[in-house]
Amino acid sequence: MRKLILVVAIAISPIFGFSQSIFDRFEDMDNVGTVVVNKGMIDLVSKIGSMSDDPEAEEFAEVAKGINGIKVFITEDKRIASDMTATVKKYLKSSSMEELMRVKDKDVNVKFYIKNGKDEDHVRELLMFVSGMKDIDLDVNGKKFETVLVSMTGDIDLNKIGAITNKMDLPKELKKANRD
Amino acid sequence: MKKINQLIAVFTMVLCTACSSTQSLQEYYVDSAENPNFLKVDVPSSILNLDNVDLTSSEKEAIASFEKLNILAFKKSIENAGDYEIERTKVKAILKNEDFIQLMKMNTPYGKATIKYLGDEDAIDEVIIYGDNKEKGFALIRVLGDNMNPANMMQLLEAIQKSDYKGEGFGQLEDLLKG
Repeated sequence: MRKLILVVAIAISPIFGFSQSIFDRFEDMDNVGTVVVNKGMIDLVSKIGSMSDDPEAEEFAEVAKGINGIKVFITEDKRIASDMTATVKKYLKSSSMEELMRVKDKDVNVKFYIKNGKDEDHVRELLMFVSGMKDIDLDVNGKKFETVLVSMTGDIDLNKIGAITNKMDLPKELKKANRD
Repeated sequence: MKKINQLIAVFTMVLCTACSSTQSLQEYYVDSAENPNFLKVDVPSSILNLDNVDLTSSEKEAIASFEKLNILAFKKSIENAGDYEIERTKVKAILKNEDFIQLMKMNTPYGKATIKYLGDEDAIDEVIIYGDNKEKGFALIRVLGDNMNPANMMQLLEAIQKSDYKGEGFGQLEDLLKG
C-alpha cells in the first residue's frame, strides 16, 4: 500500500513543477557540494537586477522570469559520481528528455539534455551533466575527478542561458547549450 | 496487559510528535534561551543608528519594516555532541513546516545553509537563515520585520554602509564562528 502511494506521489509530482525528486537525495549527502536555488530567490535577484542599470542584470531578470529552480550538484567522490551517472540514466529513460548536444574535451564529457518547451527556443527542463577529469590547477599539474550535475526547470530560453550562467556563477560550459 | 502498554506507548508517541510539530520557531527560541549550549543575540533595529544619516524615503521605509535580528547559535563541543544532534533534529523539523518558503539551500565542505522566509514574496515577515557545520555547531538567524520588501532591503544595506555602524552586536557571533 505504501509503495503504491509512493509511486503515485512521484508520478504526480511533475504537476507541481519541480519534479527532480530523483536528484533530491544528493542534496544532503556528504562529499556532494550542492546549491539549490528556488523560484523565490531567483525572482528576488532578478527584481534587484531589473532595477539596476547593468544591461546584463536586466537580461538576467528577463530570463529569470521563466525559471522555476536551479539545482547544482558537484562531487569528487567516485562512488557518488557513478551513482549520479546511473541516476541520470534512469531519469532520462523515464522522462522523455532528449540529448541536445554533447561536448568532449580531452577527458571531460559534457552532455546536455532537454525537455522541449513551448517552442523551439524554449525548454521546460535543462539537464547538464559533466563527468571526467578537470584540470583545476595548471601549475600543480593536478587533475581532479569531478562530476557536475546542473538541473534547471521552468520556461527556459536557450538563447539566453549565457545571462544566467554569468550572474549565478554556474559552470561556464552551460553557455554552450544552444541549438545551432 | 502488554497490549495496553503498547497502545499507551504508541498513543504517547503520536501525542508527542503531534506536540512537537506545532512548536514554532519562536517557541524554540524561547525554550533554548535557558540552554547553556546556546548563544543568543538579539539585535534591535535601533542599533543601526541611522538617525544621523540622510536617507531616501524608500530607505526609511526599509528601516521601518525591519524590526530586529535574532541569532541563536549552538556551539558544538565534545561534551554536547549528543545535544547537538537532538537540537539540530528539532530545528530541522520546525523548518520543514510548509509555511516556510525556501529561497536557497547549500551544502559545501564548510557546512550546510538554508535560507527560508515567511510571508509573501514582496512582503516578507521573517527571513530565516540556518547554517550548520559538523565541527562548529549550527546557527539560526531570524531577520524579523513587517512586510519587508526585498528591493528595499538592498537599499537598506546601502544605507548601512553610509552610516557609522561597524557591526556592534555581532562580535559574539564572530567569536563563535572563529572558535
